[in-house]
Amino acid sequence: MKRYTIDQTAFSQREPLHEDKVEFLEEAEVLARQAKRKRLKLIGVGLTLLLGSLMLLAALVEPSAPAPTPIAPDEPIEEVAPTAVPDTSLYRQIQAAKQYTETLTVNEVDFALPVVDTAIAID
Amino acid sequence: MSKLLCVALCVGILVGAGTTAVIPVQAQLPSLSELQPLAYQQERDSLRSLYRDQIQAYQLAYRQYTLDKAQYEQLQTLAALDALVVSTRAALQRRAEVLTTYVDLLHLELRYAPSDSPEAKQELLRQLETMRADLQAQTQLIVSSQDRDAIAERVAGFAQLYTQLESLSFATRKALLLGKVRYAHAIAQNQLAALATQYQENPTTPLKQGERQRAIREIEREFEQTTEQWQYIDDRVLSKASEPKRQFEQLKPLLGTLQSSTVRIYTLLEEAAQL
Repeated sequence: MKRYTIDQTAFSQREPLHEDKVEFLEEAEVLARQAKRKRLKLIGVGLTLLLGSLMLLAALVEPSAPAPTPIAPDEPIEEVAPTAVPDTSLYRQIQAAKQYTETLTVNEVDFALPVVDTAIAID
Repeated sequence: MSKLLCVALCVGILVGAGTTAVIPVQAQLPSLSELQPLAYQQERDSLRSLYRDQIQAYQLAYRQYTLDKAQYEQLQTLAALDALVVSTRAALQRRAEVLTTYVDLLHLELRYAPSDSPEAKQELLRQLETMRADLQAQTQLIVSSQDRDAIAERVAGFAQLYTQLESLSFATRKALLLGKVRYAHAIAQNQLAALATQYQENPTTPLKQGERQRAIREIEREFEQTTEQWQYIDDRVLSKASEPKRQFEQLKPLLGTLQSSTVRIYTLLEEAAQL
């Protein structure tokens, strides 16, 4: 009994929760939830914008190739337009022939008679 | 407007016509790789190496021969004479070997060299083969010569052989140089024709077309000069029968000039091929 009394006293002595305070806490909780939703929304919008701009940039840098048009069997194949690039094989042939020509008189010396004594004899 | 069109059309026709009038294409010529196949290069390298070794061996033998000869002239003894016979025989043998390889080199070079006269080339090749056989026979006789008299016979035989060899050498060198310079000139003519075809197949701007036309004209002018030089060689040198040595000495500077002109044509062709 004594214990009950003590508890009762403690209970009665405890400061009651003010109604305004409860209301304020509830309101604060609602506001916090709203703020969180807004933050999430903002993050979502930001990510969407970032992704969109990246895609736009990629499309600008590397335009997608148009789909190839299939050539009909009877349709003649379009000839490639001639270009003014020099034929490198002809250029190489000219260089090789020039090199060959340059060495002609140089190499000719190799075919001279060797220098030997034609008068070798005992007497 | 219509006048302008007419002028443009006329310029186009003129430019097109300028690239078509070129030196006619020569007959089918062997390519450089066909002229100098791997087999030729290997044989040439092997022969040149042998030739160098044989010249060194000859020089050593010849030095010994001169020493023994001086000693014999001073001493006049039988021992000195025996030593001189041995060293003379060695020197003669080494000399014949050097000359045999030299003939082999000439034969190889002529065999693979371009020629505008196949009959003359075959005749020269045959003569070189005969010369080789004679030199080999001479070498065999030298090896079997044991005394002074036998050596004296070999010396007399060699003098006659060497005169033939000298004449053959000049005739072969003339054929080689003439064939090669003529070939280089003919190849240049073909390459000019190929270049003109390339220009036609690859049209470009009128400005560049004009540059091409000027390049072709310049090369054709060079060809006109070389054609005159060839005419001079044919009329004044080759048509006259003279000793091979004299003819070769006449031809060599003329062919040297032609070679320089041909190199100049190739330089122009190189530039023109890049237009």
